[in-house]
Amino acid sequence: MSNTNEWTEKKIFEKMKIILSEALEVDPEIIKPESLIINDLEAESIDVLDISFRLEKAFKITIPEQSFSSNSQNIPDEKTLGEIFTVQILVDFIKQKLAEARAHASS
Amino acid sequence: MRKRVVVSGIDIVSPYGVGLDKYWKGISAGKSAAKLITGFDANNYPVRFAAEITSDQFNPREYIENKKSIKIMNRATQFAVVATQLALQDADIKKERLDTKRFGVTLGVGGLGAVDTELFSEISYSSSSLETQDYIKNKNNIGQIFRHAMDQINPILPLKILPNMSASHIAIINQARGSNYSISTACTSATQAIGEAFRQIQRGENDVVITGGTDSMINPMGVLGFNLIGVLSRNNKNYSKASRPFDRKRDGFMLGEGAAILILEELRHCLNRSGKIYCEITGYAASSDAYRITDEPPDGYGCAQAMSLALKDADVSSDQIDYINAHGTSTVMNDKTETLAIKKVFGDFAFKIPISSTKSMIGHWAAAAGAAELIACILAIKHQVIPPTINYEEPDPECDLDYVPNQPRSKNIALSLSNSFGFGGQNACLIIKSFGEGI
Repeated sequence: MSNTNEWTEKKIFEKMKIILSEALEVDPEIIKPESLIINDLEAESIDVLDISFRLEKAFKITIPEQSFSSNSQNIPDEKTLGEIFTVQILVDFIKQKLAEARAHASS
Repeated sequence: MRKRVVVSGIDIVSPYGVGLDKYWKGISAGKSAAKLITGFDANNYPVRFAAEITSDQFNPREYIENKKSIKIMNRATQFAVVATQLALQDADIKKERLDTKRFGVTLGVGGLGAVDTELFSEISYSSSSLETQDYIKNKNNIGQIFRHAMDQINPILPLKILPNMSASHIAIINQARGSNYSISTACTSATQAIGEAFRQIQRGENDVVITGGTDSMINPMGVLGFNLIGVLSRNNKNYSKASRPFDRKRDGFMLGEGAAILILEELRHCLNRSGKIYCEITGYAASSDAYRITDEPPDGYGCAQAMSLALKDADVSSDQIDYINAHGTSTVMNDKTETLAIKKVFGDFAFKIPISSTKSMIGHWAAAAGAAELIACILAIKHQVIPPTINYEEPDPECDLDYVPNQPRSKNIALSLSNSFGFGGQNACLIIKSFGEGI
């Protein structure tokens, strides 16, 4: 079991690079925080499911279905998910999930 | 008027390895492709051998360009995608010159074959981690067992099970936007798929159709399931002699696996682009025994009906057929019934036609069998050599035809017929003809 305290933002990003490169079969070196997962890294709907599953396993968290689907609430009207969904958003999401888990564990 | 249909490209992923050359080298030399199973631990299994495609013979990453797509392809789909790419290269079709709306896919596919070992192990492993063992003590609780297992597995894995996925991947990769069908009629699947693809071009619906079949049943359920029905040979000791169609000591078939793909093309379309022509497809028919699930009617009326109608469809008389590639599974019942059916259709001439079962060497590819066997007929015409029935040692009085025993045979072959029959009672028959200058 990994201690959730070990997950610094940098470590999360490094892990994310491995997960994305495996799921999307892309060179990890091209993955930057600002890379668009759908538009740049060419993720299809099923890849988003795959990534979500891999993140759950890697970080031992639960990601609700619909979190990253195009039905998500927080997309500005004029944008599509493909235009805003960056690697950094995923890193922030994981950071938040891990913080929630930590808070839950210590309460 | 019906359009004429030719075969302009073929290729195969077989237990001899990837490619036509290896396949022809194997079957024309009478070489068994039998091996001890390596894909999973079959150590204490009642049947421990098969004509398996080993991991050093086939690596999908060497051939499939879109690496990401491999994760949702089951084993049979990977075979089919690779065989298709090679067959299209063989046909030398310039995809940009095709009318993509008249470029279709009709494939013979397995049902359970799609549930490959990887998915099996994911589900079984997840179930075995159940904390509340009460779940699995009660089989009526399958709902909860699955709920638990499916929570553990990658949500994209179930996409591998859908039987139509092979044909879909092929269409996506090749921009084949014409009709797209998957035919699953057990061991008759591929022959029916080729027959239906032939009809689509005859009727003028498509110019080019990717067809054939793919299957992989060499997994725990395939091996144990076929064994339970009692149709597999258990000759583990001497496994390269296990598949022995028409021989008196035959005791069942050997499983095989692979994909065999044919590019069917409307004759004028092929001539206009100066494409290669292996042969013309001239006859097809299908029938159903409507009798019992795994028994054939003793006089083989369904098989005979398919052959008679195919001869009529090809507008040839029975004495014009130069070579029959039999379904010849090596089960006691099939080989006896098929022999009777051939005699019923061909009369005295039955004794003069060379008949062979390539299953003696490559095993039974289930849904893909008919395509591998039609390719054997095509190569027999190309090389004017009939691949043998190997392991034929002791004649069976009930199987008294010329089965081309053990040695390949040179012969002038212009017309060849291929049979496929399947559990459930479907029968199908295809007839091909060498393509001469006179058109």
